[in-house]
Amino acid sequence: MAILPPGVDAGRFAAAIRRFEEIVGPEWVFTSDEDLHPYRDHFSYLKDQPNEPIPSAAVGPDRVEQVQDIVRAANEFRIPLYAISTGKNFAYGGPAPNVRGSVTVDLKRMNRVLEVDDKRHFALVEPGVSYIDLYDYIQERGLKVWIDTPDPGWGSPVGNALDHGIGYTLGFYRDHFGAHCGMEVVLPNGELMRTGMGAMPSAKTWQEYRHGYGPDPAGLFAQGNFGIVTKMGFRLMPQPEHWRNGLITVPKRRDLIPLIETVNYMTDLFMIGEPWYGSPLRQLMGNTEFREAAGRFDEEEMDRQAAAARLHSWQVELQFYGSERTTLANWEYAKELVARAVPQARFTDGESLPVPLTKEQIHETTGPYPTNMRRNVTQGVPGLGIWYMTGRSEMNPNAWDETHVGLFSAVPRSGEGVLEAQQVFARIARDLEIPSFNNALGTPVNWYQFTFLMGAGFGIPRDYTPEGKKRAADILRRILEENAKHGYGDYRAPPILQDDVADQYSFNDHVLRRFHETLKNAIDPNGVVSPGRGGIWPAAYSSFRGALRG
Amino acid sequence: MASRRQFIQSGLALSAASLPAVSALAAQAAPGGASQTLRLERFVVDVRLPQAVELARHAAIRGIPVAETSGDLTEIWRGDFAPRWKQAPMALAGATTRGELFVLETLANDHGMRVVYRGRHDGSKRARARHRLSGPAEVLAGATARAHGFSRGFSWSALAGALAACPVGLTPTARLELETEAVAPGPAGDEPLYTWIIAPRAALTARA
Ligand SMILES: Cc1cc2nc3c(=O)[nH]c(=O)nc-3n(C[C@H](O)[C@H](O)[C@H](O)COP(=O)(O)OP(=O)(O)OC[C@H]3O[C@@H](n4cnc5c(N)ncnc54)[C@H](O)[C@@H]3O)c2cc1C
Repeated sequence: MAILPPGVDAGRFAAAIRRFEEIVGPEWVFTSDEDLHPYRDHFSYLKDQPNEPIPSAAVGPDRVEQVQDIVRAANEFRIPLYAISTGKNFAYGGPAPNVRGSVTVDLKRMNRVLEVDDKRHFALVEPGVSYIDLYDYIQERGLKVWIDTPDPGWGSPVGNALDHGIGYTLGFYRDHFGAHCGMEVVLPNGELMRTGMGAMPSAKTWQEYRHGYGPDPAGLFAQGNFGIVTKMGFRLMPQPEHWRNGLITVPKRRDLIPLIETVNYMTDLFMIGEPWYGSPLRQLMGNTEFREAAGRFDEEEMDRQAAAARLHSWQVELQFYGSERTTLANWEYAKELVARAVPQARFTDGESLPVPLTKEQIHETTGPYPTNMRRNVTQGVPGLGIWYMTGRSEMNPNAWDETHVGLFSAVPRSGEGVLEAQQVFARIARDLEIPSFNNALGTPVNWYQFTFLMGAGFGIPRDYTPEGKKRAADILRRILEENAKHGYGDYRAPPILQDDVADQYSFNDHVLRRFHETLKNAIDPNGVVSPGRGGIWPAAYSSFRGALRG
Repeated sequence: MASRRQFIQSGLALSAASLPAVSALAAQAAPGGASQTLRLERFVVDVRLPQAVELARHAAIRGIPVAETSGDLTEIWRGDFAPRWKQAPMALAGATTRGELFVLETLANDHGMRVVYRGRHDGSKRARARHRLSGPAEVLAGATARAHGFSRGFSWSALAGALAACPVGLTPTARLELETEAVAPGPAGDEPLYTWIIAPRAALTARA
């Protein structure tokens, strides 16, 4: 099934392909269905639909100069490109482009670790370097720095950071884009630009002072389409000597408010790693009486039943990085702070382990208390085990069969904010007549240090007919719209939903999007770099806005 | 450095619906029944799935080294496959969940390999199990030829034998759906079992 870039006839496409072959060598230009199969989003509601965003070709450059030549050729032949690093963005679009017929620029061959400094704590990498590659590089050389890995570890620091990905160690490092320091970008006209101190040719501080001088455009290259990033620096956490964790539970529903307030205090003092929230009451969800009380958000009744079952309502697992003594002192201080706020709180010591943890310690799933914490990621050790999430479970009774979409909204970082969001998600599910799991017990993830993200776990009907898929995608859009009415914004989305998410950031008649599109048209007049990415449509492709809505 | 096409995969399957059609295609492929077979270097088994364990037992009897997982492929990937696949692609088979197959298929795509046979086996909670197979006609015919009293001739030992006898080269492919008596439940109730073969891109012409 030959797909052509929009508005490009077969002759022009063939000429463009020949040019790409001259640039990278014919063996690195792919056009057959079979070769393009890995560049499709196999999780998508658009899979096998007539508007599925399948590329027309893929090109695999090995050097920056080749990327520049590809961009220049794309301008000459008016071919839309779509750049990926490791292309593993599953649940957020996989490697698929926004515009059907784009040419995918696959940067996996540019996989050099250019520098890791374990005295000044940074790395400089190319886009094809995966978290596993970078981890191995550090381990093989015995360097005393950690990476902050997302799940799964086969993604890349560059690709993940450019989609605002997150990890699981200390707050600063968990925000992967926030922890970047300096980048090199091929601009839409083929020119090469460096941000921060990289703009000063003789600087030896590219990975140390991010701002350089003047406005820092680095943010434009994340979830945007202003260039193709060819190098990126990242701050790395020095390897700590010790790791310790501990569990805190509080008895009543409303105790969540002082609990979160106190944990926020510790977080913002940079005292703890990622806190993992949860509810011990999940084990009561099998009990009809409790489930009904939770469904009504009957707080008094839920508290009564929790007390009768001798269970606490909320828990948070805290982590400390440092030395044996400092982690102990911080844990003691954490207990003191929470006891002041919630006198009935209970505390359970977790593990106290010298770093690096042994393989056995990393894989240990039992401990002083039950936990869902995936210990490998808290230690910056990349893995592939997260795929269990796509299997069948109580939370995911249908299992991943054909589709899988990440949908996390930013909600206020307070107990009141969380309790309200639970109700909002429940109402949305009720209105849309879809199941919603554990609404009254839903807790946030604190991946970003200063942000709570909540995914409500909606059960989208499992109907994989074309109409069923369309209905499911429409449901997701309705959820986004309803969320936005309450001020809950999605932090990340697959191409099929990017226009919808961007639509909701609409302050002052969409001035933000208009600003982005003004810039886009100025620096990319032919609109060749990832048109539509992030809901930013260049004039040349403006008629494609919303095309993936079907 | 990666060699040519180390990050792609290929293929397109023909389609056939019935057992006789599959057998006819298979006969065309290997008129004397003697084609060269793929050398399977590993059999990946999810030990939580009873039928997968049974298949792995048959594979082990045939001398195929078994790699065990219970959901997390990190160890297999880091300790075994990654260093080997960096040198050269290889052929392997498995019986796993869909998630595990997805992970291995994606990694295989990055290393010049692809899925050439895929079987989905549904239905522990159903009265009857449903098998949907696609891949080389010879494998499908083999899986269904040596019946052991199962309706319409499917058995796990026959499937194990057929996987081990997967042909190399230009071979007709087919799809087949059939029902048999129930299969044992997996780790989380009725999650389907997937059986599969991944092979170097050059070894077979089709992708399942
Ligand atoms: C079960 C499961 C768990 C997950 N857990 C996490 C998690 O813990 N944390 C997390 O962050 N994500 C998670 N994800 C989402 C995703 O898998 C990861 O974020 C993954 O790292 C993204 O893929 P990648 O690194 O290969 O990036 P890519 O796919 O290479 O890039 C992502 C996007 O960024 C842009 N881009 C990439 N490279 C460039 C470039 N060089 N120049 C310009 N633009 C570029 C493109 O738009 C591209 O589509 C999870 C997904 C699943 C299915």
